Amino acid sequence: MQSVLIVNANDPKMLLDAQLFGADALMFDLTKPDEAERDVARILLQEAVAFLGYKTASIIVRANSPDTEDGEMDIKTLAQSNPYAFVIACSGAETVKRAEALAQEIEQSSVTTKIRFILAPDVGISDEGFKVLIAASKRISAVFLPADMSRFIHISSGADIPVIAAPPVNPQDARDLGFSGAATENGGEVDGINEIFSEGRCGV
Amino acid sequence: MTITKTAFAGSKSKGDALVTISPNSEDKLSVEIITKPIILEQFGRQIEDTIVKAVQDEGVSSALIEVADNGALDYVIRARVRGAILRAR
Repeated sequence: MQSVLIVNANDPKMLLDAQLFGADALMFDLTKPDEAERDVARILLQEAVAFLGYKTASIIVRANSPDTEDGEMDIKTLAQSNPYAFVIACSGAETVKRAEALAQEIEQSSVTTKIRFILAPDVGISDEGFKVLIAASKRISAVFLPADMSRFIHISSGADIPVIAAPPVNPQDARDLGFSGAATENGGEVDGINEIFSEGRCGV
Repeated sequence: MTITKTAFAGSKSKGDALVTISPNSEDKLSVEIITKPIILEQFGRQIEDTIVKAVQDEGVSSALIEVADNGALDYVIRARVRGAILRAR
């Protein structure tokens, strides 16, 4: 997974256009809509996945923090759509453990594929905190980091967990820093990311 | 289920639909679609079927449903109807 296109989950036009840009993964963002619109954004995304299929890309859902009611509902509702993974913002291992418990509860009570997480750690996290974070669940399939947190790449790589660069980032800089791929909110940048990251590096 | 309060979901943006659901004094579903005449003429029946199916799937038997459509695909209309019902509960 080298190119990731971030899409506002409450924007019908972007939901329709998202698969036209050739991204490896589509990250449907449930944190983007205003708080008052998140209830209907979840439903719109659920219906979009069922109707449009998105067969040419991996589906990622960026959920609100599992520490919040919105985050819990994001994961419970969209787990039924079998996304590749949920991006979860987390300040510490407690959040990951909460998400882990939620995933276990969902998997026991309904038919879904295995729930995976892509962690988006808080900016202020320490090296030690980051190590604890990525060890907190076996469901962590990647880490989503801004370029200025690239110091965590070697820790993540040591645990065999790929790291995707969060926007804004220059894709060439992201590759040079050791990221496995890069995300963008601009469909026009996907080709450039694919080109830069397709030169020999393995993705997620 | 009967709708007892008014609620809406969606927007008038391109590709979206603004759905308003409210109580119906008669025990039935009443649907009003607001869109361009050419769309209404060619797709009105299909849009109405999508609305009624979405409402019935949510277990609602009595409501007034107004849909202001701005080129929304079926899944968007269905999602906005479900969203409005969620908020009306």
